[in-house]
Amino acid sequence: MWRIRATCSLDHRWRMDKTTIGTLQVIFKIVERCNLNCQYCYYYSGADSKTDMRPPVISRDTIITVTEFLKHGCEDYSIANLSIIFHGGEPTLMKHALFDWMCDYLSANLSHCSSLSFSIQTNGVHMTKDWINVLAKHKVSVGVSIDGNMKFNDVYRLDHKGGGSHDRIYNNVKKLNAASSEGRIQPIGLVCVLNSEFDYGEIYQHFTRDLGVSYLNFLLPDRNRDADLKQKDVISRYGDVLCTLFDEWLEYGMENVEVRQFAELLSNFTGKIEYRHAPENYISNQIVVLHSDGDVAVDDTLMPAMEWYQRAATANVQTMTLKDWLTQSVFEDLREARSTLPTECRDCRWSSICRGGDVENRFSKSDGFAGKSVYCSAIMKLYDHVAETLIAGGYPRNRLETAIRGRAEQTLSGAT
Amino acid sequence: MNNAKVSKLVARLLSSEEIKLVSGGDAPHAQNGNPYTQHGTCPGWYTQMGQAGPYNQSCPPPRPDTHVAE
Repeated sequence: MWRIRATCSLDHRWRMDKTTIGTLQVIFKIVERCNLNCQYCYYYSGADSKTDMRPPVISRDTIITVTEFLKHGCEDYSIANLSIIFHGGEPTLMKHALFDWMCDYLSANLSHCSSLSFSIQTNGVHMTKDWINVLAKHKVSVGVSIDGNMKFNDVYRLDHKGGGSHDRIYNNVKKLNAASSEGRIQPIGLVCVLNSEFDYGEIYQHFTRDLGVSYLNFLLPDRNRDADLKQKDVISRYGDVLCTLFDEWLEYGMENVEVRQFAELLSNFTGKIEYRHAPENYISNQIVVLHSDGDVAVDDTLMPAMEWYQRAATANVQTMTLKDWLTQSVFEDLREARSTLPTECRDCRWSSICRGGDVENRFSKSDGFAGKSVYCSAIMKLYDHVAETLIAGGYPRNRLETAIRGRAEQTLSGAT
Repeated sequence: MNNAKVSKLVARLLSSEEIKLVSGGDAPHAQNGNPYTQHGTCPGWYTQMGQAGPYNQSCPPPRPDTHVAE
């Protein structure tokens, strides 16, 4: 009898200590080479010196080992949603037959452990009928990287012969849209790296009118606080870029286009916001990067914090569990950075919404993540512009201030 | 600025609601342009779970066991 009680007690303690994950996003680098040679590419910029030494395409054996790694991770963390994002390099350089097999294998072994979803981030250059068929078969949702119409996209997004990529992307987006219209795949999204010199009125129209895409995500270029003075001058212009995009969206897309950044910002001004505390030891969203050789790495969007990124240990799915990986101190660094408001931001009206900006943009060699975002002026310009626009449209000023202040109070009292 | 559209946006905002979860974890993957994999809102702290509100309808609804009791 005492043995039973003892077992129950241990089990209870285990449950109390157990961390659970709402969504695990797996950035799965199934191909480590690219058919484009974009001049700003973060991935081949040298931060990861092993990139060229990794297998160009993941092997079946590694896919099997990765699957086991994720399966145990799901068991250890009771992961509710497992989101596998096929990434690269350029993932469509894999043979579509291997991709088909991989999706079958992952589904067969993981779909009973978690709510499994697939997506792919592609440069859209190589999108054959076979590829669209296999994406449709496995319900893979698609994100395409493109920087604008031809005159803007083909400034940086060039192939290895120096040729532009826009025309190929354009044709393939049309093919993907056709598949979406037939109900075979979900509507695609576009991701665009911003450039302070480009015309975003023209680019917005190209994405929504010419390409007919309704989900847009605009990325600020990789920068940290060590950016030189010339770059800092450029950075202030990104505020104008973001304001231009907001005005375009408001004028032409508010009804049927979702721009991720604006959706996120505007979600702070809904009529009612209900805050709920996550349970203890609950991680709502966790990212892990898996390479073609089975190496596990931290989120590579953190590469602008290069000195920190390079310090992060690497491990391999053959020798490490997800639990071992996530209990490393680098994740404590990130949690601390994200939950600590930079001193410079303490008197800022927008601090509770901006939180100092993305941590990689807060990094400097001398201060780590302690400073405010290098994009502070640009972000603030957008926030002020949106607030003024809402007030001009009849949004009650006191309500807007309450929304910001209420958020701040919630942030102070609600953080766990 | 198109005043009618701004007014429409304001009306839409005021009539919608948002549920935000206070929790930790990584911010959603910024390099991924796919709307269906992005559950996150502002950097790091708050994560929307795909419930009510006009701006997150592209997110898949959470499984019942991801809802958090009030």
